[in-house]
Amino acid sequence: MRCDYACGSFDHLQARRKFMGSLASGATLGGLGVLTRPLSAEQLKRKQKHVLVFNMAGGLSQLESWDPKPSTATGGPFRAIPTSVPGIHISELLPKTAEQMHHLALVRSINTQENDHGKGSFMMQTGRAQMPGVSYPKIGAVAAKALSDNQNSLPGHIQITPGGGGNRGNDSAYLGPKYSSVVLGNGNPPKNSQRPESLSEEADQRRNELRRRMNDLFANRRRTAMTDAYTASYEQALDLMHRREVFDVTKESKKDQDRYGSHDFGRHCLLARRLLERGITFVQVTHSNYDTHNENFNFHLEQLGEFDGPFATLVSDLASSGLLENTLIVVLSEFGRTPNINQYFGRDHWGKAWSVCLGGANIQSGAVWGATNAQGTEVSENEVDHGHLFHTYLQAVGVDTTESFDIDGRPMPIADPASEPIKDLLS
Amino acid sequence: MTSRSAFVGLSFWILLGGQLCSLFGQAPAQPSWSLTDQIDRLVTQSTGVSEWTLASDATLIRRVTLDLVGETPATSEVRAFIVDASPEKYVQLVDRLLSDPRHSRRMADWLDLTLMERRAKVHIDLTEWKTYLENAFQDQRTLDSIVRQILMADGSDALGRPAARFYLARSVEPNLLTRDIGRFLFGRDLQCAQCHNHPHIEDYNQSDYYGIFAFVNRSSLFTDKDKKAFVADKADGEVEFTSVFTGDEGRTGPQLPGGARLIEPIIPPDQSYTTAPADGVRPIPNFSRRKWLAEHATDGDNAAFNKNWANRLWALMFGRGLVHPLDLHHRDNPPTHPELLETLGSSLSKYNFDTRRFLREVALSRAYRRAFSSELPAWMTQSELDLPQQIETLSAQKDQLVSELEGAKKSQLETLTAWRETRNALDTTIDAWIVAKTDGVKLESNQRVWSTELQNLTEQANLLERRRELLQKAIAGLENASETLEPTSFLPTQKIFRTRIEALKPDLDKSQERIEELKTQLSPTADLIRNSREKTEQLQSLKHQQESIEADLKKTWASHQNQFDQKSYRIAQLNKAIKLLATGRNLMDSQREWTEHQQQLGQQRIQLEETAQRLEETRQFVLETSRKLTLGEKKRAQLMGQRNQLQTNLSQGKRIQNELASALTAVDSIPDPSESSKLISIRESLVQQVIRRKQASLLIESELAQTSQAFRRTESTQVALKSSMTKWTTLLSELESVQQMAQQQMTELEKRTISLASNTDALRSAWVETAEAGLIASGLTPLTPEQLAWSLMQVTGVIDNQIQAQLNQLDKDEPLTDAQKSQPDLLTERKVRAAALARAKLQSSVNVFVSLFGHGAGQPQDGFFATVDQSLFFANAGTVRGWIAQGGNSLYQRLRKIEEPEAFAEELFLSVFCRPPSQDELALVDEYLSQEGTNRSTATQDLIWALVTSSEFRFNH
Repeated sequence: MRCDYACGSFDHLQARRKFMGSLASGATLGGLGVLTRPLSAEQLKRKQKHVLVFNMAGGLSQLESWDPKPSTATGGPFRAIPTSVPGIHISELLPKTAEQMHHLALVRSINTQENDHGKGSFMMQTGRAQMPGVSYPKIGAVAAKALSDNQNSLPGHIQITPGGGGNRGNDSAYLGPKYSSVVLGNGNPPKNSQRPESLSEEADQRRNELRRRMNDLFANRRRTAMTDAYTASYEQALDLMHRREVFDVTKESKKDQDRYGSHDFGRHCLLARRLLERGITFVQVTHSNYDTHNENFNFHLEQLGEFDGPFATLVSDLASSGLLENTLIVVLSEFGRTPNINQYFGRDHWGKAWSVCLGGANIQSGAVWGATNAQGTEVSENEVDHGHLFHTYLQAVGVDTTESFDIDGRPMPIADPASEPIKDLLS
Repeated sequence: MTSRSAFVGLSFWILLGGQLCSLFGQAPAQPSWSLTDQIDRLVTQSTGVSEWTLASDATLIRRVTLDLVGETPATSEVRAFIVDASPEKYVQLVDRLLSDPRHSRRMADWLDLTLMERRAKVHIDLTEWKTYLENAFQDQRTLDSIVRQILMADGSDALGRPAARFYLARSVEPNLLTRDIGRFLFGRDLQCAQCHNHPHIEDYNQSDYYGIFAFVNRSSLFTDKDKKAFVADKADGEVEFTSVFTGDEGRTGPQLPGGARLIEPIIPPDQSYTTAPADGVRPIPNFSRRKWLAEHATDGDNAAFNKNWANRLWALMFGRGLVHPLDLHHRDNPPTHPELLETLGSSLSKYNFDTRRFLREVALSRAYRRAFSSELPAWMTQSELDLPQQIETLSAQKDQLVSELEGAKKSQLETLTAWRETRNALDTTIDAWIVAKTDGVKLESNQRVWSTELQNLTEQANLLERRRELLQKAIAGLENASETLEPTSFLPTQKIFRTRIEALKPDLDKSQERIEELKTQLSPTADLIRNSREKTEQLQSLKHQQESIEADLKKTWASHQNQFDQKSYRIAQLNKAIKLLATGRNLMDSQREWTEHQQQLGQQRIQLEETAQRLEETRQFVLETSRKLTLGEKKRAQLMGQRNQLQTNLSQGKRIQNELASALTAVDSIPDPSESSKLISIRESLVQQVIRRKQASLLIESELAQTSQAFRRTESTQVALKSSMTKWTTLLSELESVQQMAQQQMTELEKRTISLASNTDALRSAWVETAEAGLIASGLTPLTPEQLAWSLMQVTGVIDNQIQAQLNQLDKDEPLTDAQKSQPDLLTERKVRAAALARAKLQSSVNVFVSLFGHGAGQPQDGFFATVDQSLFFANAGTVRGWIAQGGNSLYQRLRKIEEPEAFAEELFLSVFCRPPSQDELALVDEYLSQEGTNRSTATQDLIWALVTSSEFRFNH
């Protein structure tokens, strides 16, 4: 039942002033303005770090993306093409991404030894192995907690999913619902963020003013950190409604909408850019579905064909706006796909030797960490797992992952203390 | 009686000086007392505050109704309770609420939340599970029996199948079950102890974790051919563990946290199962450790179990446990009131886990009925109470106790070591005894199996032997016959018989062989059994001996421990009292300093104003003087001009006068007298002229004298004015610098006052927290999602409307005859049915609140959080707006019929907050209703909305 006072928001101090005013038998206090002046937008902008995750749901094939093995028994039909970084080749299914390679880096030596969708996803999203009875917050919740500005009424942790949505995600574990994801199903704005048509803005303001005055009468008698948080949530709601356009991708220019494409994934990428530009800490875009037990090659051709353009455009836009300096990009899956091609021209689940693409923030751009053997059946150098990656992601945005969160007096390590970041990838 | 009285200053009493402390040393509450009295006595002893103000009727009825039936009371109930003058009204209210069907629902919600933490549906339907719990409470089942059924459930019993949700929703995963059994049944989160002894908590050991683990590690999820899930148990599977830190290995049998070593019944291997494991068959052992856990945990003797549930029921009423968090009972997180928790735990067991009886006693306590206040109690602000002195005295006592405790620690440790050593020796003996006994049982079982086999084989062998003999006899007969009769005709038959005998031989040989083997096996078995029995008996007597020694040592240790704990409790109490006094003192100091600063600020302001006034006056003077100076200068110049003119005139006159005088002298000097008459007239005229001139000069002279005087006067005035001007200007600049300094001081003072105010604010929060923890003032508890949903539907009239709709439907579907309509029982039964149907129908709305206001599935559910999705829901969702604008018998419709603002406000506040409005609130309602630009319907909805979104509605207080 703990709730910290030290949010220092304006409303908070306002409420306190009212609170004290009532105690001070009418005496007024001046000079509070000095205390309430928030960090300037510039200061915030400079400090704000972001994380953008692409979740390639189902298990992206490393062989058709980041670690092609052309002309081998396992390589499949696609070629490898050169990228903007001399020496790095990726699959020909990602020609536009190849042009952005100098902003990105690859980890080609992942061995998570996990071939189950649920468990693999848990590992990659939390940086820990699943253990019965224990739950860990997902990276979005961790990033929101570690990097978000407390005064922002916009959520710090957003999931853009192909469908569904509307409810809060159950992904913050002990960090609490404050850091749970707000799910934008098919890119739609948060539920109930639209004022009902029958309620004019003026009428809404009037009833909110009434609410404030009623509530103050109670707060004067029984104000606690909990009541403060509750009261503040209504002001945050008003603020979010006021800034609802943040979630409205149609407000982007026609030109940009064309550049990203009219299909869902393109819209979601543009929305992600919009959200990051407007100060959201963490955005995850899910691209589905890569679980290609059948027809692996046709599916990858189709799926990556959709992915390549918008993704490359987004990387390039973030780079040219300068936002990439403070934004970590990760393209991950729950696992990779088997080098072995099955009888249905499919590839199956494969946690033994696969890849992740990342870039931005403090990631060494143009770097490649680790390698697999000639046919991609085993990691041949610098093997890493989910734990290393999780440390690396967070350290790339300046989080000291050797620290712990203080959860009601219990220290909870931010990342698995038994693991460490891939230092060579951090610039 | 209005709620306002609750916020007026409260009066607390404390026994001063030595008395405060002697109270701690008093005899404990008597067990013969009611639990209610014991609670109050123990709370009093713990803080030293012997009396506290009770909450107002309005606050109380809201609080207890929310706590016992899970929603706010109806407006009519609030009205009736407030006007009821009976001293028994509160007891009657509590009894009525405890027998309300909604109480069963509230308890079902509570137990569900506790055991399941909003886990999703897996195998068992959520509604079936909730109905199962609700029925259990409705049927007056006790908590231990419900928990027992849940722990024993395997899903095979059709009626009790929902009880298996506890296991099935966790896929019968033993580690997950161990953690949650530890947390929910014994209040101990042993999670960290899974891999090593707990790094932060001394009491939590890896063996504790695996002690529970051993109860459930033989269980697993079993799915039958219809894909229906069950819990399956095996008869084998031991637990061994290794610490990831130290590499130490351990082995443990089932053991309850804090409980004595349990010795399992030894079941002969041939009797392990009633249904043996096989492919596609759910095994059922003769002895299930899981069921054993259920029996032992709930038998009323396990203090950890009893205290855990007592603490959870306490938290149900008080919003937080005596131990908090609820699943962290351990030495470093002691209860706020240790003896109270002991009493509550043993009472719960004594009441046979009758939750209604237990909750009734808690609800009736004064501790529960305490009021809220953020103000310091009167006893603390009394001037004769020397707080620093008090604190010092208490601290000295505490230090004394602490040093005593340090001393006691050593001897306590020695007894503990002695006890542990004996216990280890006993453990070894028990292990050996179990081995011996198991051997014996095995031998006996072997003997039994072998003897049976031997008997069967012997019988079989005898049978075979007899057949052989018969055959031989037959052959012999045939031979005899062949001697007398024709021999060849019998040969084939003889051959057949011989072949048969041959065929019998291997069987017979095998039987004989096995019989010999069995005999060899059996012959020493009897001895072995005898030996084993002897050994078992020896070990048993050794065990008995050691047990009694161990029991003695344990008793000694327990009494040491008890003394130790008593001292620790006293230290904790003193710490609490010191903290209470210190927090109060700090608050008081800060408040005083703040008030002083406020006063200084006031004085400073007055001084500043005075200075400003003087400055203004001075400025005026300077201005006036300067104006006068200018005027004087003008006058001086004018006078100077006048004087000069007069002097010129005078000298001109004098010159003419002289000329006339010379002319007269010249006339007088003319000798010719002939001209004398002419001369005389000239002379005469001259003389006249001279006289006139002289007179004129005199006139001018006097005028000049006057003007000169005036000039001199003006000049001296100017000099005086100039000097005064200098004085004023100096004063002015002096005052200006004074003002500047004063203003600076004022800014400093303001800054300091603000920081003092925020300091006071923080200290007040600390005080409220301390007072809340010490149970001398009530705190705020957020409503659970369920409480919030039901309360909102209750307040707006949604529930009443839905019940009415269900009644109408029932009347339509099953119309009552006129005769039936006159039977009150039948009508009541119909209403109860309609209410149940209505509640079931509204459950989906409750689920919406759960998804917004509840924590994530499988997470602790007791922390408060406020997120934007919640407030957006309240602000914009059609659900809430629709409820507020309900038709039928709703709050909105009732309010619409009330013209008069005062009555309107009263109905509104009694309905939503369960209390009448204050003057300020009345004024606000009146103002809002009469505001221009709003129609009354909208304004009414806005008012309901503003109240249900206020903190007062969101929290229980």
